[in-house]
Amino acid sequence: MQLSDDRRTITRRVDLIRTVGYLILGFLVLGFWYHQVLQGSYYRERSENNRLKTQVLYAPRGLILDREGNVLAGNNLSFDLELIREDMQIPQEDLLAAVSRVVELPLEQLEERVEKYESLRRFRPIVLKENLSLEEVSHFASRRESYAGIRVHQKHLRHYSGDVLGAHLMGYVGEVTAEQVERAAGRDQKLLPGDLVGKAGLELKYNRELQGANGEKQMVVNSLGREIREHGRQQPIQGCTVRLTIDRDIQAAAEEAFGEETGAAIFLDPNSGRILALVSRPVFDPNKFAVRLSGEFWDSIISNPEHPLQNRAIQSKYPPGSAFKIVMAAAGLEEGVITPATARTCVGQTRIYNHTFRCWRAGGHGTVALKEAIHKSCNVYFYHLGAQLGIDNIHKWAARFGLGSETGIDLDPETPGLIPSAAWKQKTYKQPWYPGETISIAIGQGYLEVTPVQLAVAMAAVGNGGTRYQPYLVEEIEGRDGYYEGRRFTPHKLDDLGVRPSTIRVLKEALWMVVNVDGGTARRARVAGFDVCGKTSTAQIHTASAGVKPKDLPREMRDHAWFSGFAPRDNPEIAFCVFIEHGGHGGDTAAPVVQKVLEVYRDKYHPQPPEEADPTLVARAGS
Amino acid sequence: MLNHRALFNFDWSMLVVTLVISALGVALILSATYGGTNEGLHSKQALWIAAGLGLMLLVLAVDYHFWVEFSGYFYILSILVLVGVLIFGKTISGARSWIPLGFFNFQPSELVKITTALLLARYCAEIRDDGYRWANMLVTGGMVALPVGLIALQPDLGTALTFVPLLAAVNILAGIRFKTVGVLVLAGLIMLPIAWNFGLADYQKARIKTFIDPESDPLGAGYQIAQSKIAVGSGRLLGKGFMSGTQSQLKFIPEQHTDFIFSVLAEEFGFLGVTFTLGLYFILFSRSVNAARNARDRRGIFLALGLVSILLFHVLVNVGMVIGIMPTTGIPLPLMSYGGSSVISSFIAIGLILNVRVRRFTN
Repeated sequence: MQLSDDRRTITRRVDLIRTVGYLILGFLVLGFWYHQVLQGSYYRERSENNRLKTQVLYAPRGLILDREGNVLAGNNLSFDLELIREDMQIPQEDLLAAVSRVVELPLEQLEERVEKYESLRRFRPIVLKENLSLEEVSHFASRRESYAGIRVHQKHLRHYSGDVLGAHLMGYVGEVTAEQVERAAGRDQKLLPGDLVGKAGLELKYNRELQGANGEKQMVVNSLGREIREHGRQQPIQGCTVRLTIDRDIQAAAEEAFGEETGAAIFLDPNSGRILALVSRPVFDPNKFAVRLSGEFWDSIISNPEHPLQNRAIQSKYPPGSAFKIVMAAAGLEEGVITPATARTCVGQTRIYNHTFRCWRAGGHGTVALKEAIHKSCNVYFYHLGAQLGIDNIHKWAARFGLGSETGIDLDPETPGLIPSAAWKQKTYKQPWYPGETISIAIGQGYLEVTPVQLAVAMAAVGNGGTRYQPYLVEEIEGRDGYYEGRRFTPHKLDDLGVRPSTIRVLKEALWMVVNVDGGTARRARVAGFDVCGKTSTAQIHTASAGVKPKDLPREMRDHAWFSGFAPRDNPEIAFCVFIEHGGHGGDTAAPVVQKVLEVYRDKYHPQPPEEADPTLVARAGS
Repeated sequence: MLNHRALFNFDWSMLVVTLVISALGVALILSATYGGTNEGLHSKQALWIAAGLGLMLLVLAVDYHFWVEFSGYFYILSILVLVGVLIFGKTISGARSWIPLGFFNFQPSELVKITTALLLARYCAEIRDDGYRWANMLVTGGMVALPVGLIALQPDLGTALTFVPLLAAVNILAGIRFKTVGVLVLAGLIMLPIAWNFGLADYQKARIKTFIDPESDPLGAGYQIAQSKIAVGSGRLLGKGFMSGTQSQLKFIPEQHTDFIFSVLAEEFGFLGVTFTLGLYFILFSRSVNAARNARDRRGIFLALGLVSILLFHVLVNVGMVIGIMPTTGIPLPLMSYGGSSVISSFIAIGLILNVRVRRFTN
């Protein structure tokens, strides 16, 4: 009995151990269930990353060409120094310290860069320095063993062949921001931290098409990181070629003519809206953005009081000055307030609503009809016209000319500007519109704000007989198989001015007189054989400056100068607007810019037959 | 010596399972070493298995009572060998654990587990139920402490640890009281910080830290675990196929033919293969416990259960280590990991368990 009891007790203890053993085995099975079944796909991916080392094959950005196929933006080869943390064989600090001595960058700067990209997978390269010198390239290339984890990577660097040429059109590229990465992911586009993307101008606007698609090269590596064979390769797809409406010769002429002034100039085809040249000053060199920016360079750009990154052609807004008289004249004729023959006598000033309003010419213009009033830019004539029309009529017609609203040009960000109305004033200032305020609006001052591109489009519409076309810069984006199907851009009609042909005739005649008839303000825009039509104007910035010659004032107190119009008078081919900040009189500063550009245009598109033919050539042709 | 009745009692299923696990091990060693510097080790492993099988039959041929009866001599002999190893042994991977025998390096600590189990069976079988006193505990503890101390001096902490389940199993069978267990656990907790500060070498501390947080040092001590987990997890349900595991074939895991052989299995045969193999170990364990339950006497119970506890502990720590739920200790997987000492001592242990089973009715 004793033995049997004994036996039962110890059997119970055996069973306890058996239970523990079963639990242990069950516990192990659960552990493997968790790792292999629940987490299996995660580990499968990690094993693929382990086995396959992926190298990004960067896609070169698409070319930007002018209308004739000249390269405005292309790509140059450059060499980057990259860190691949996974391959490091010595501590990161030591490796970076060694690199820092060679590339002469402070260690802290390198560490900062690495920290910024901490979140990248360890096999992803982090760029330590761009644009290595050839000495640096050969230093690292010949000492590969002692720099495990450091790689010299050849890549394409954005290059703008004209340097500053068309800088505000091109914009610039820069490193993608975290938000852009996220947004791109939402649009099913793959961007990685460190990628370069368009940051401004066309580079930004058409970034998706220009970007291209990075490729990948996957290498099978063993545990030592040695590449055993290529596993797969996806070729990069270069970004699409973007052909612009811009004419490089006209663009270059406009930039040269603009000189050192601050402001903007636009030249476009009035019959389609194709922009031939677009200038903004001061300028920046987009090539300097293509490499990772040094702090000082960025600071110098940001702290520049002239804001060189601003594209003044679409972003600066100022009162249009006398050019607005064209809108006024159209409004007056169409509303039936005046006829072309309606005349008024200017004695240098006039009284309206018990206030005295002065003409710019103290002695007055005498009796002038509509065309002379525009020709000589008589303010008194338009004061009265404004009073007769009232602000809301003026607002209506200004809006039809497209002033005070975005033109829809394919560049961002465009400023709308402002055309005031009674309702607007009530809403903004909680005050009624005072009729006296209409008087300054009538000569293009006061609350009015327009951008150079708006004025150019308005002038183009007058030139082409009354149609407003949306201005555009891109003629064609070439398609690329598997990436983008391509797109051709065609002229887009915005609307009609809604004026009678007779009104257009009067306006064109007056604008022609401004340039070509003595006594006009834009004599200096005359181009032989090319009937330039246009209107100078001035955006007043200081009422006190009235009557003082601009050159006697300090620059920052001088008025802004405009000159806008089209040429030639019959069947115009080119419309323009030149805006010069603190340029004083438009006729002195803005008109000569137009003249130089139009001469280049005329010579290119309407070459004069040679004065005397070479007799030998003629003889040979005859034989 | 094996009579007709004994043959009838022979546990064929246990033998089959043992041979299947061993064969699986050979196949996995082939896969793990293919194209590497250790290529060809699988055939050597087959030789160890053959030798183990021979020794197993030898052990089986003699009634286990003989082995238990004379366990004192075997124990003393093995202790002397351990002392000898400490003086004359060969150092591999930082531990003086090996006796060079020309054609292979023998690790005597593997065999000492068996002699200690035999001695404990002999001693404990004499203790009556409810008769387990502190004095008895000191004796059993001392029997284990002597080889553990000598092995720890090599230093080979992992192998030293494998004596713990033996001691635990024996104590449970002998009837240790819950109160006593409580006191021991408390004492252990108090000793823990002292052991941490004075008893462990830096590399051992690093291993434990790595066990707690493997990602803390992905290039150093945690590398092996991280790579092993990737291998295991990436095998998913069905595995990548024999000789097709990328982690295994590209040699991402150090020691994958020895301590990490199970990761090769898991990668190439998936969760199904893992479950199948753990199922084999389950049968091995369950048949061993069955042998103990049906043993003719207390010696048989103590011997079979002591030995199977050691084997199970090896499985737990080795297989758990592969998925990071156990620290990296360098304990081989019985019958599967490459290595002569481990294979031979596993076969001897299984031979003794079979012995207990075969002789359940003999007098």
